[in-house]
Amino acid sequence: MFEMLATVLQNLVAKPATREYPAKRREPFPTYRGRIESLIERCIFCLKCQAACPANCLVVNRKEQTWSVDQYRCIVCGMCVEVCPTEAIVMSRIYHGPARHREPIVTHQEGPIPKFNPRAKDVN
Amino acid sequence: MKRRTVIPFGPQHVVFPEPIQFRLILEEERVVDAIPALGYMHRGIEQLATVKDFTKTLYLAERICGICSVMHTLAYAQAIEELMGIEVPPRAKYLRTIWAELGRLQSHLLWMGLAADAIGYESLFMQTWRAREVVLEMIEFTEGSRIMTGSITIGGTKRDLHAESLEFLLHKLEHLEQALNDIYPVFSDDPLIKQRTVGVGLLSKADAIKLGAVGPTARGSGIAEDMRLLGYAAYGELDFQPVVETSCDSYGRMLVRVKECFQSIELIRKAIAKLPPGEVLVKVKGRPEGEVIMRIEQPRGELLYYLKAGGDKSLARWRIRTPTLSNLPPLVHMVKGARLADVPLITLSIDTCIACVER
Amino acid sequence: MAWVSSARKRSPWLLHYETGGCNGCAIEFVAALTPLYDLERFGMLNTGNPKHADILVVTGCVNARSGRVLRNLYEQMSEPKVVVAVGVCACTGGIFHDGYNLAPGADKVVPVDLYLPNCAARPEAIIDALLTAADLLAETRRRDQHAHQRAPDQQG
Repeated sequence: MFEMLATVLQNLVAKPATREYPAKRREPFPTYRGRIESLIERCIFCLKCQAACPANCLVVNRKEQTWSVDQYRCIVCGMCVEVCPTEAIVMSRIYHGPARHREPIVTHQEGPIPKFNPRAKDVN
Repeated sequence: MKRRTVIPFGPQHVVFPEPIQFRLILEEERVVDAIPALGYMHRGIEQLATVKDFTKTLYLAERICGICSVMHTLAYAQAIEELMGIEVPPRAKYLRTIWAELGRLQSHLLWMGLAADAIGYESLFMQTWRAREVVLEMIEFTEGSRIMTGSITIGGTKRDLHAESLEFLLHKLEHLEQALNDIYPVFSDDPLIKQRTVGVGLLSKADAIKLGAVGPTARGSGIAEDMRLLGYAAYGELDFQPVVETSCDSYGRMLVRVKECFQSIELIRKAIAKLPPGEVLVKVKGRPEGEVIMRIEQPRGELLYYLKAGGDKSLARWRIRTPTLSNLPPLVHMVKGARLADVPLITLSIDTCIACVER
Repeated sequence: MAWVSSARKRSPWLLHYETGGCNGCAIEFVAALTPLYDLERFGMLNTGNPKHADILVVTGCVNARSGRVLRNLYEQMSEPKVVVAVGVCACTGGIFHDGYNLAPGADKVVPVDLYLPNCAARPEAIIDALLTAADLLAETRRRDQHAHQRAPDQQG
C-alpha cells in the first residue's frame, strides 16, 4: 500500500516521459546524419561520389555540370562525404521530411569547373 | 479420429512486426503441427553481393536486419579482414565490443517489450521500450544514427569515442541500470507473466542439442554455449560467463535475455575502463581472396558467415546462416502440443527475426 | 455536425505492414508508439485489422510475395484511405533497388500518397508523416462529402 503511494507521489512530481514532439524539438546530436547536401560551387565533377555510393542514388553529369541526388534512395551512409576530395558534399543534421511526390534533387553549377589542387586542402 | 482444422497464423499479425506465416494444424485447442511458410521478406542479398563491390556490400550486410545491424557489419568486416590478413588496432576492437553490446541491449529490450505485449501486459511493454530509448540515445550520440549506424568498417571503425562520449555513455548506463532494476522483478516474479510462461514451450536439453538450438534458446535449456567465448573483438580480454537457465521453457529463455542485459552493461563498463589509446582505422588495399567462415554471437544466437572470394571486386559467394533459422526446428517442436493461445508467445520466445532468415 | 468531423480529423487508425526490408523502419514505427514519442496522444491507434484502419503504413521493399499481401490489405481497407511509404526501401527500394525479385517502390503495387525517405526513418519523421497523412485524410473526406452533397448546377 505504502509502496504504491510512493510510486504515485513519484509519478506526480516526475517529468513526463513523453517528449511533446511537434511543439518541443530536441536539438539533434552533433554527430547525427540527417541527409546529404551539396555545396555545388566546390564540385570538380570527379565522379568519385557516384562510384562510391552503395545505393546508386547520385548522378553526376560533367558535361551539363549537374549533380543530382535521389533523396528517396539515399541510405545516408556517408560514403560520398568521405570520398569527396573538395568537401563539396556535407552531412546535414536535418532529416528529410515527408513529401507528396518523389523527384531527385538536381543542383546545377554556374561558370567554369573549379581547378582542383590537392594541396589546397592542407593550406586551409 | 478428431477433426483437424488448419489456421493460417500471419503473415500480417499484430504480434509480429514482420511477416511470417505458420499454418497451424489443430485438433480442437491443441496444435498438432506447424508448417512455417517463408519468403515474404526475401530480398536476394546474397545475389546482390556477387554484383556489388565488396566494400559496398558492408552496407548491404548492415541492412540484412535492422535490429542486429551492428552484428552483421561486425561479422562481415571480421570475415573480410581474415581473408585479407588485416590486423585491426586494439582500440577499434574495444569500440566494436562496446557498440556490439549496445546493439545487444537494444535488441533484448525490444524483445522483452514485444514479449510483454504478447502476454498482454501493455504497461510493461511501454516501460521496457522507455528504457530502450535510453540505449538508442547512447547509440545515436556515439554513432550518429539510431538504427543504421555504419560505424564498423573493414579495417577498424569509422568513428572514435572521445572523453565526452564516454562520460555520456557511463552516465546513461546508470540510468539504464536503474530502469532495468525496476523492470527485472516484474519479469522474474510477476504471477501474470509466470502463468503465461512457466512450462510453456518446453524444450529439453537433449532436444535442444538434437534440433540445433542456438543462443538464448539453447542457454534457456541449460546449454552453456556463447560464441563470444571464442574471443573475437575484445571479448577475449573481458572476463565473463554465459548466462544459463535450466528451466527449459519460455520463462527460462526470457530470464536469460533479461539477465544478459545486465551482463551487457557490465561488459560495456569493463570495455570503457580498459579502452586502450591509439588509432582506430588501418588502410585497406587490395582485394579479398580465399574462403572463410566467421561465427559471432548475435542477440538471437550464433551467426555464421561463409565467404568465398576470387580476388575480384565483388565476392563469389556469401552464405549467411542466421540464428533464427537454426531455431526454427526447435520452434516447430515446441509448438506441437501447445494451446493455440500460447502460440504467439512461443513463437516470440525464440526471438524470431524473419528479416535475417530470408535476407 | 461539423465539430464531430473536426474532432475526428486527427484520430485515424493505423495499419502497419512490413513488406520486407530490414525491419529498421518497422521498429522505429513501433518506437513512435511508445512513451518517448507516444503517437497515441494524437488519437492514432495501431490496429491489426485492415477494415478498421484509415492509414496504411508501408515499410520495407516490396517483393513479389509480400506485394500480393500488401495489395490485399489495401483493398480490404475502407475509403477514404491514405498510404504512407516509410523509409527509402518503401519509396524506391533503396539499397536493394536492383534486387531480382523486388518492385522498385511500394507505389508499383498500391497508390502511395506520402513518401518519407531516410534509412531508417526517425520516429519524429514518422510522426511528421502521419500528421500530414491525417490532414490528407481529412481533406479527402471533406472532398468526398462535397461530392455527395453537390447540386448538379454547381458541378464542374
